[in-house]
Amino acid sequence: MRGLLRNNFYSMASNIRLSLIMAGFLSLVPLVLKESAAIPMILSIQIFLFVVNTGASLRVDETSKWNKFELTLPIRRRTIIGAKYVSFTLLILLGVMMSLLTLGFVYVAGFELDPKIVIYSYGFGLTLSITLVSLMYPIMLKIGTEKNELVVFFSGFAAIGMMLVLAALLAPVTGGMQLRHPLVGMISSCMATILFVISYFVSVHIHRKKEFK
Amino acid sequence: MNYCLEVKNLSTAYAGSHFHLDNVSFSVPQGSIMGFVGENGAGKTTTFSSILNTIRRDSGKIEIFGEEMTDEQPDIRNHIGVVFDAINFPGDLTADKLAAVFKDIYQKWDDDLFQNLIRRLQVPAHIKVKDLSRGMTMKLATAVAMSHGAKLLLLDEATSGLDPVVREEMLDLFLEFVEDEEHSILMSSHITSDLEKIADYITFIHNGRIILTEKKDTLLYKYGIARCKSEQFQIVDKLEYLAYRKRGLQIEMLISDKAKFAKKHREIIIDDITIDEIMLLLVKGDQ
Repeated sequence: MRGLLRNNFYSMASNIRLSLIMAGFLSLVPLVLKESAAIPMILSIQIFLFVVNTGASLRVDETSKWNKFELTLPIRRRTIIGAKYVSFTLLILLGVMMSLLTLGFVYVAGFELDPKIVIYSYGFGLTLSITLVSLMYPIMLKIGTEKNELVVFFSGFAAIGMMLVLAALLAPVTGGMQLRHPLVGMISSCMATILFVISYFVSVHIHRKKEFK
Repeated sequence: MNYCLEVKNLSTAYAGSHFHLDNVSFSVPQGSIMGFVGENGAGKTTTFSSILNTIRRDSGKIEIFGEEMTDEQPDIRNHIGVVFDAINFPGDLTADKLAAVFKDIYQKWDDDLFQNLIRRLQVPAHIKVKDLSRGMTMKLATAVAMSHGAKLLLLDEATSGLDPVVREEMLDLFLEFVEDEEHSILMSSHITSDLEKIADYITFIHNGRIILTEKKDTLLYKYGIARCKSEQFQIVDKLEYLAYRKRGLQIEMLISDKAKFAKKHREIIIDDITIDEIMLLLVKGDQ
């Protein structure tokens, strides 16, 4: 699997570099802000910033026919899929690390953030990122990557839709429909993680049935 | 005789297409190069894809080194090198990065051999695949296929679109590869002159069916093309030719034993034949 991971990251290197520059820039923003209102959004964006590039990377795999070539390598199909999901996880963790850097600068800048808002920001960022890849990858595997932008948008909207539904369902507990309630953020993150695990098995199934001509 | 690849009664159909492989059977003897010849759409790439399990097959058996290659037994793929008629590798990778990737994938990746091969083939190590010419990309793919201890190379149109100089370099490499008689190559190509230079056996495929498998030397030295007029053609028995076609006033017959045919029909001109002409007569001619 290590070789496949290496390949995935080499293929995404230029996009990751760009995301790092953007996330690094966003981390510095708290130092020049006069109030903390924008910080939760910055944290969520940073978490999401790295996985959003995976659609383009999957398209490169398809156009270069790498996805056909890798079937000739001494690896099982489920290992190929496993390497993709590990790569997605590492990208999300990279986003989380960048958001932690932002929190460090928030501390340096002297802002006091409400912990509930921080939990919500992480919940939103993680839900969006995890749901995006969980939906995007099996869909692209099934229908191809030609419409990758559309699939990314659809997956992003589905993630927000899931949070809205959860906020509505949790309304009796959270005192009305509150999307920014920490409980909504935490439960939606857990739901997204479950979706991620299901997505892996669905992708393995699709890949086993898929023909690479 | 030991075979490194045996394809038995392979049948494959594509959904939404009339094309299918029909009972394809052939074997590649160990230590040999087999040329796989056919017109566009004859089924060469489909056969390769079936051998490599990148598409499903409806029936038949494929054995590589005596074993069926399934997804659950990927180790056998350590012994196979593959070059497709495509880019093969992600565009953002360089030869050096590819080496790092394959070092972690193949059990017996030989980095020194890979570096020697790309130096010999003059493939730049630090230029991205997407910036390489087609010739360079194919050379790179060949270097990868030969650098992990593969005993069988599957080359699907690996030399097509390359200039004669590059093709010559590649053919030399392939000949060196089979020198020890343990390594084998199955190579599809439109360029039959390449196969005439290096192949030991030629298999012809047409409309998804194998129409002939024969030793190359037999094809070139025993087979022939007999040219005659219509009235001479009338006296030739159907069993004496494999295929024929009319060209103007002349009739051309593909014959499998020109010496025997010449003895019987002294008045008919018999010429040596090329792989191209055999393919044309088998594909375009009547039986």
